[in-house]
Amino acid sequence: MLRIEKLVTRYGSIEALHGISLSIGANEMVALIGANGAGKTTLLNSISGTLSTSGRIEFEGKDIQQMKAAHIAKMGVLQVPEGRHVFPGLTVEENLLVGTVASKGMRLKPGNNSEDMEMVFAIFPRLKERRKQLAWSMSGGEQQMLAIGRALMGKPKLLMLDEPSMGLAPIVIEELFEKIVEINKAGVPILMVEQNARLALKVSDRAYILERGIITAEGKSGDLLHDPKVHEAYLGKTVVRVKNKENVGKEDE
Amino acid sequence: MLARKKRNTPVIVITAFLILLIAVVPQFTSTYTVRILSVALINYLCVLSVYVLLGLCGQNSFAQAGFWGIGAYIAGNILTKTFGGSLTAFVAAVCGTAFLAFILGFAFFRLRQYYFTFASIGLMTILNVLFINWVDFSGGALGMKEIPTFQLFGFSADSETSKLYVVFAVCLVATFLILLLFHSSLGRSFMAIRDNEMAADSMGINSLLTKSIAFAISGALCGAAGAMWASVSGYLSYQSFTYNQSTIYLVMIMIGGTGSPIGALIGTAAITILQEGFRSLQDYMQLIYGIGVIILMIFQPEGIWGGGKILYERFRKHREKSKVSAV
Repeated sequence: MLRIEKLVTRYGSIEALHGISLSIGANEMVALIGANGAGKTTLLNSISGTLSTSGRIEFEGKDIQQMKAAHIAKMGVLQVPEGRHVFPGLTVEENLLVGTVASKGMRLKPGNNSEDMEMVFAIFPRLKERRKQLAWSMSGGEQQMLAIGRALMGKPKLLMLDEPSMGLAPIVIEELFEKIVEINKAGVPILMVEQNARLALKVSDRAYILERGIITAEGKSGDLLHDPKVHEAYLGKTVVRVKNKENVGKEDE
Repeated sequence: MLARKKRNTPVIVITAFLILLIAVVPQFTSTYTVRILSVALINYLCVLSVYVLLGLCGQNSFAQAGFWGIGAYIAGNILTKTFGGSLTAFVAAVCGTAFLAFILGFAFFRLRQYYFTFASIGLMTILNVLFINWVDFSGGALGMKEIPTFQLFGFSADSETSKLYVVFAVCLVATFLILLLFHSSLGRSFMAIRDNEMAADSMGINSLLTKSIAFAISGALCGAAGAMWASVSGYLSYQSFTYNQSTIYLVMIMIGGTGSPIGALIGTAAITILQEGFRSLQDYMQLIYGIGVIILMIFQPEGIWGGGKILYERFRKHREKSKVSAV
């Protein structure tokens, strides 16, 4: 499906990704885990063509490394950006309709999109209740659902989710991830960037661990979940203790 | 379908009112008032162009009066040097201005947000200098004289009233096209860019191309307004196409509201009435605009039309509530 070889991305003179190799198979859910600043979002932006890169990015056998972002999106590689980038001044329905530009191109006639929209509403019934509501007035979880639903309107062949759980309540995250699994089971391969490593490893098939621009570990998510090293670095085995106020002075003495 | 009809009701009501106004006013008033109406409608076309660019696409340009001038000079050249008739002049003005805006858009929209605005200020200045110094094209400081009026299929718009009708027809068609644009996927892409350019990019919208198209459409509207102006006034001077005129368009749409073509219409009407009704206060006009805009932005950032809509919603809800309590 997607194969990346020796991908290097630079911001000016600073190299952010130092030769990443990664692959995603058909119907696979792949998680990308790493600390802040490891280069996870940079990797997604490199794939979707918003950053200039060197190396090889192959999608369905075609080299897409030099292609423009809009062209890559039209091929079916759709990214849901970090932090719920919905269009606040448009209604839920209009937000979803913007998503069809990727699959159907720009048209002057509205055309018939009811089938695609029903498909999204079947996954996210909450969006159907709010179809006439302006996007800014919805809760964080609903906005994230809308952002994912909008990407689904573009008929993705690869869906890239950037931190879908960011800033959401635990109960909302649970509901959202059930939906993400549902989407994946319906046949959409997913590449997910996630800070919540435990959750990401639980729902994904395989995972890569990214540290300072290099992939340091990869494998089946189940195996990584029990790997002691991963456990220590990302799942919080070692508890960092905060010194309490009274002890601060004493220890120094 | 029903929802769309409902949304268009105010447009239909206002159009009907305007048709009535345009039909009745010339019968009772002087040619001077009729001329003012024509000029106001030409201004409305330019303000509509700001609506497309700012209201729909979120890009602020100070070069609209420059495009208006380009349209006017293209039409003026064709009409005075008898290359062709009114229709040729009109089409050339619209297409020429749109094409120029499209090409410039590709260069300018590499700059984002207010950097684009800065670039447009530069463009406006350059165009103004061009209008003064390119004598073959614009007549230079003396201007362009004796531009013939509209003539089409034997019909000639000699009187002020018939000129007004031609301008009004063009405005109607333009407004209708812009409303179609609003409901199209192209229009939605504009709004997507306005709301969140990064998300629009990741949805497969080529933002550079799309913004250039928006600039071209706004250029076409200005070009149409320019062609109208050339024929209505019969004389073109570089002093009309200035940076100040561009800011007046922005003031007009801010006062009316950036959310709808109706906002453009209300803003144009409000400023025209101000200008004509208080001619004695002319020296203080800029001050009045400035204070007016500041007050409006603080208390009613959506403009007169946006504020009116909010008031209407409140009134409707209040009425529904009182109905329920009455039962």
